[in-house]
Amino acid sequence: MSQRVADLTKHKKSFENGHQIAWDSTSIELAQTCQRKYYYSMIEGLRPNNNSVHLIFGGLYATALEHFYKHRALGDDIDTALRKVVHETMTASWEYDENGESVGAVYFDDTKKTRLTLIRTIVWYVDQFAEETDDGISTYHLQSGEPAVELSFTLEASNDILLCGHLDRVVEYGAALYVMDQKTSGATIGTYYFNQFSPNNQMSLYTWAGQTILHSPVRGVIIDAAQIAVNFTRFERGITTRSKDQLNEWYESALYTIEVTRRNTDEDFWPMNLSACGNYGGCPFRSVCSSTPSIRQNYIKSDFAAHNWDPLVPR
Amino acid sequence: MSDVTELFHRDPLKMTNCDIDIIIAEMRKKRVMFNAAPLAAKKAAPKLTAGQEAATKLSLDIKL
Repeated sequence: MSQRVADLTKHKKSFENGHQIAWDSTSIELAQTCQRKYYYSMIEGLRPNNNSVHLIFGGLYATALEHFYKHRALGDDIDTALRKVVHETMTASWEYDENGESVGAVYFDDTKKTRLTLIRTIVWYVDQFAEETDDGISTYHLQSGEPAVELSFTLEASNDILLCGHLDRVVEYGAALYVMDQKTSGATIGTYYFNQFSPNNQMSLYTWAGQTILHSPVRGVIIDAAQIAVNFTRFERGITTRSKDQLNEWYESALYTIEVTRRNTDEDFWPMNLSACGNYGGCPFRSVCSSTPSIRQNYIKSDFAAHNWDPLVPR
Repeated sequence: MSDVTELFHRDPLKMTNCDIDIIIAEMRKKRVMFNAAPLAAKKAAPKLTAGQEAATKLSLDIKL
């Protein structure tokens, strides 16, 4: 066991003696993509200085819709729930200093994903999809009567490993249950876009967790994807399903990845996967890995900041 | 500066329900305009003359 790794991760709830014990889909994905990337992101806890506009926009959007459905399920009509989440999102995208004094609007460094297009997308989504009908999609209610929204889960897998995450909403569609997830993209959304979700760690984990939490045959995930353009937002709805065998296969692969990562943690050995450096526009740690090892800390100090991503800390 | 542009530069904690409703109404107006645009463009497109229309048709005068 590396004492160095244990020291680096001692403040994180999801780590124990340097080993990650609670895994969400993001950390599984990182470990499968590249062990060095996993190390920089999860062990050293680094993220690029410029927080991705896509993460900020996507996070605010998903939170707004999650809250919208919660307000709806608690009895608000559509217009009241929409007014609440627009106000919340306007506030969440506004900066205040440590004394609570107003600073100004959060800067979105993008031409398509801006504060205005975020609000527009929330309003347009609600106008297109919010009306629930008996033959359409409706929020599932738990046995307690509570709406199945904002479900954070931590479930025990094998070998003292916990799998955790957060389901925005579980819905009934036809006779089946689905987890619902929101995505945003600057690109046109079609078959090619939806293909990325099968196979996919996040969608498999959500389906697995949905089945385990609800003790019901959750069939998969309905993905409401929004194409954000300068002057419009266009929505497409896609469904990705998982059979029992597919879920078993994903589960075995995820546990294998976790086991490999545990061995690497013991040895403090983090090999690079050079075939993944160019994925999705390039790995954020490419500049670090491409520099000579003796000067890497300089790059890290200048281009990266600490982030507090901890799968066990509720959102 | 329009009402909505001004509202986007205002501290949201000082906004009223009426302010939020103005923003929502403006976004809904944009949606209606966006959805109506293809139909408006179709209506505004110049009609082909009979000669132009005939020239665009395929000849099906195939002899077997």
